Amino acid sequence: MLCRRQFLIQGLSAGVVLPLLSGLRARPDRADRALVVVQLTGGNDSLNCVLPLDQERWYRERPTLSGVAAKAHRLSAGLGLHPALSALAERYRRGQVALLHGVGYPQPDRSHFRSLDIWHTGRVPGDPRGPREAQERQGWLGRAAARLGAQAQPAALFVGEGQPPLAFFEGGRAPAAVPGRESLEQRTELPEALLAALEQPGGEGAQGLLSEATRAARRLGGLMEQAARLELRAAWPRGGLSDRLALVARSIRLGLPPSLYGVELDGFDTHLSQARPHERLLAELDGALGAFAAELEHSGDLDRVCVLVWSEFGRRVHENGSGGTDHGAAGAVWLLGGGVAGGEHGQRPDLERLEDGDVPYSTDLRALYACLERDWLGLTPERPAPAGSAPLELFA
Amino acid sequence: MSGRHTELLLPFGSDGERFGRAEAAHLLRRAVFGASPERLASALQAGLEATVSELVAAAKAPPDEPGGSGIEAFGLLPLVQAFLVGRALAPDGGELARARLAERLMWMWHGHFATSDHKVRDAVLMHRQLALLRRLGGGDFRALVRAMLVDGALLIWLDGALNTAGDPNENLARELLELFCLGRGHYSETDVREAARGLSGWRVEGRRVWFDPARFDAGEKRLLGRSGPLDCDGVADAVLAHPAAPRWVARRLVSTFVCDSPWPELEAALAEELRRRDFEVLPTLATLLRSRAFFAPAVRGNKIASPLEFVARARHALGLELAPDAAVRLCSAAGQAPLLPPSVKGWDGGAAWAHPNAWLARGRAALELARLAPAPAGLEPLEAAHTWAENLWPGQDRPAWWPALEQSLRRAAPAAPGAFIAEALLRAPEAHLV
Repeated sequence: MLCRRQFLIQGLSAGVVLPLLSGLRARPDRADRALVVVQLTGGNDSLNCVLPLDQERWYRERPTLSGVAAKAHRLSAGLGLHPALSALAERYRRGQVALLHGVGYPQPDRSHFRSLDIWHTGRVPGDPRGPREAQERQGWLGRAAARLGAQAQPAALFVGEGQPPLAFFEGGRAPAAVPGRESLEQRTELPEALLAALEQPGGEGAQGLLSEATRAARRLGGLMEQAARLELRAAWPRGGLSDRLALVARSIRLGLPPSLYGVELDGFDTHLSQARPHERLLAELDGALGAFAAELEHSGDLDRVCVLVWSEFGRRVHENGSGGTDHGAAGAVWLLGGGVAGGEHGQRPDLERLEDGDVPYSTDLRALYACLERDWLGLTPERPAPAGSAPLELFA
Repeated sequence: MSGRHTELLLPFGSDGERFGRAEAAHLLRRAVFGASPERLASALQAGLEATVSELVAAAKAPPDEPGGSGIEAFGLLPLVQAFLVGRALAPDGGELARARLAERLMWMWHGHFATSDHKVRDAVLMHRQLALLRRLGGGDFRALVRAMLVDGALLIWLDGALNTAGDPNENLARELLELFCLGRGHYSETDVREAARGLSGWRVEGRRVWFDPARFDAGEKRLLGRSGPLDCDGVADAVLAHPAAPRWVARRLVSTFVCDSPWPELEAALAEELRRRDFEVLPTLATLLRSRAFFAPAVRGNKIASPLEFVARARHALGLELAPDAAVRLCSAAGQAPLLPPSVKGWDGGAAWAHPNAWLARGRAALELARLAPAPAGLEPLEAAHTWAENLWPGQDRPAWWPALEQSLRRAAPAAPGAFIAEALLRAPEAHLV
């Protein structure tokens, strides 16, 4: 039996895909899996996404923000989802969402910059390698890509504008990255024959490096153009995150080389009158994730995809004086896909037992990373889950 | 051995080598981001010796900051980036352009001290650091290090402002030893701790940098064989007295101006020269720019241009009217965002510039720059192609792909031949090699 990628290579060998996929080799089934990491930048207010509907203190601490309870999606006794998260609620009911409560790390850092570094490197405070790896640009996904990457290049792809996040860097090297849909085209006025002549394999030293770079760049550009041309089947909402996830979905459907994908949704630093902007962000997230899942379900690819949604910290339980929330500690992480063990994991936050006014973490992010590396990507975890963490069973 | 070293730094021409168009172009590309055809002609006429003297003299006193006061008032990152890149793009003939070697050195030090606004988050402090690098970057390297150790942006970037007697933070001390002055293998973990103690006590409040004696660890320190109640300057002196220091600076000069891969013999010879010149950067660099090693055939055209080198050279050689903010955008997309080096080690350069994503961005940049190319007035397309190629890589052989360009010009007869030719030339590998 052929794995999907082999099939694609053989099935499409007459077309234009083959020369573009020259770096690709057949890989075992597990390697057909993709991990799509969605970063909610700014510190998502987890307590207003996953709603502790049975905890009186939540209503008391959040007189304005708890208004979302009335229209919440009720998942189970005492557990609700923000009204804007319809698609996620629906997927949860179908067993395609694993909700992991209280993910964080010891000595929570409330600086965006530091906390992002910690999540991106997987090195928690007190780890002597932590600051070093942040400055040397060693991200946990970049290191995972290096371990996956012997077979297919690029193993990781960031879709978005600007500098890719540290998580995807490896040894200071940036990951392959493509901007959103509109600037993907490699516009040129030059005919193909001239372009080919300009990138003739040439010479030694820097010249040789350059012609290799030019070919690799054209290959990546070609792959992505190829992906952008693939017709979408689901109804995708408009929006930047949708565009980026649609490109990821197309790349996965085509079986292109990357196993790790990253996208970002910014704007979650909601200190001020947060109800409306937070709702808009969650609606954008939900719409894009819903379309992404529908797209891959339609093509039969959802079982080999896992989406991880995370943020650098949650927010304080207490609503601040301006209808917003300030930087907190742990937050919930969501996994979406056909292969996840749907339902709740970890411990629900107990608002009567706070530390410093924050929900303390109950699952160490290192345990999450170790589980994803081992159970989803088939890698030996780079570092074991810290001693004493309850084993995570996030995949069916 | 030492005889061979010094031979590398013997003046080019002492064996009868000729300083022709290709040589003058090589010098101006590496030292000052390329040149207009007129600037190239004047360098050729003046000769190597005088041209280097002139570059060095102008770099000693770079002109002040037109628009600098506006930056202090508004302090927005895009403004500072555009200001910075604008200085490298200033057209030949003007006062700013004459001091472009100071600009080149400033970029070298920007990559060396590699402070990023990503963490500093204050473009005014960043701007002040870059002004410091420009002002002191050609002088005594030891004075530069001493000044940098109390620079506001650097103190934030490497947590120096958090380093106190009771609660030491070693980040700045470690990078001082590892990245700024010596390199790994020349110091111990004890040296890092002791240096951190000596660097304690500095604070940054708003944009004010000040020394708080109450936070300073005034005790006895032992650092690289020196001891005493060392303070910031004492730490800098102890570190810079280490024999590895001149070699570390020489390596930076060689990797910036000569070649991407290490050249240990040349680094050793240049370190010796730096010691002899009492750590003065510009006189040392002058020796290098006049040397046989600098003009070695294996070196010329064998270095991958940084995005800024690529963009600035196109601008100068083709006379493109390129707005500084557009140049910032092109450089950033190709992996060189000013004020935002990718890591504490700065921009890796060399093969790292040729990352596929960065290379896609260069392709887009080639097209965008080509659209700025002036129409080749009064010239047949092929003549224009020859002229521009000669301006971009003067005195070099015709590239192997040239017949393909001629053929496609004949076949396609493009509506805008100027942009068509310029795009081909700017996509060519020759445009990305210095």
